[in-house]
Amino acid sequence: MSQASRQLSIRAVREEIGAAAQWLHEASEALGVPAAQCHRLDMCLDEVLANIVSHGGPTALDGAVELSLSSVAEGEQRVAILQVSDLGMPFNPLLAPEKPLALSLDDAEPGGLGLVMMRRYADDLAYRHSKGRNELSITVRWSD
Amino acid sequence: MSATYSPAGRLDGSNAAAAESELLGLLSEQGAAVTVDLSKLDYVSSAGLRVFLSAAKAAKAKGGKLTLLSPKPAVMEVLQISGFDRILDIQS
Repeated sequence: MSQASRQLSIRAVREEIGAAAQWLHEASEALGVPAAQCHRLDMCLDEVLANIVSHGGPTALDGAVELSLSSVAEGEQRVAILQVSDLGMPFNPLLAPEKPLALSLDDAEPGGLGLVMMRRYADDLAYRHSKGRNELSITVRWSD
Repeated sequence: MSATYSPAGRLDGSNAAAAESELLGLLSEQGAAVTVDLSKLDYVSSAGLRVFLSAAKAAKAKGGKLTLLSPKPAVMEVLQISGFDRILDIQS
């Protein structure tokens, strides 16, 4: 099976998060990524973009956030990889401590759930910082 | 006195701030018992969960309560993963 991919560039602003989600759904359909797998990637994408917008700092706006979706067969499994690259402050979400889940409403604090979501929905997460860009790969696998 | 907020479609990073304003506004105007009808919500991310948390705390501070109603399976899954099913009032 040949490898195919789709790309999108957006600005690191809240107003573009909706467009990114829409792109992901269209790209998934074009690449034959099933809805359930697209949903997993969608959950991760929302977290990553929210982090970039909220915590990327001013350098995040120096250039585009580059998104790429590719899908390939690996033996009997299929794989979809969503890559997100941004110019925000260097941040490796994989190193962020995972907060324990709150036990009561009073204990619960906003934030810290993004990593829980990403770790739960993605099969693999990989991060590197290269040429001034944060580069995150989010992988989901499934069998048709 | 209670009010109902019925988000539809998606509640994610792109619209969570607006939803929070609306929901907190409902709380302050209509009293401290608010129901969030989730039957039309297809998708919620952690940004959306923060809205529910913020509103639940605000309701509690006023001596009232936030109730989440009829979450779809995908939304219920997120509520369970986050542990929010144990700290928020959710009814089917």
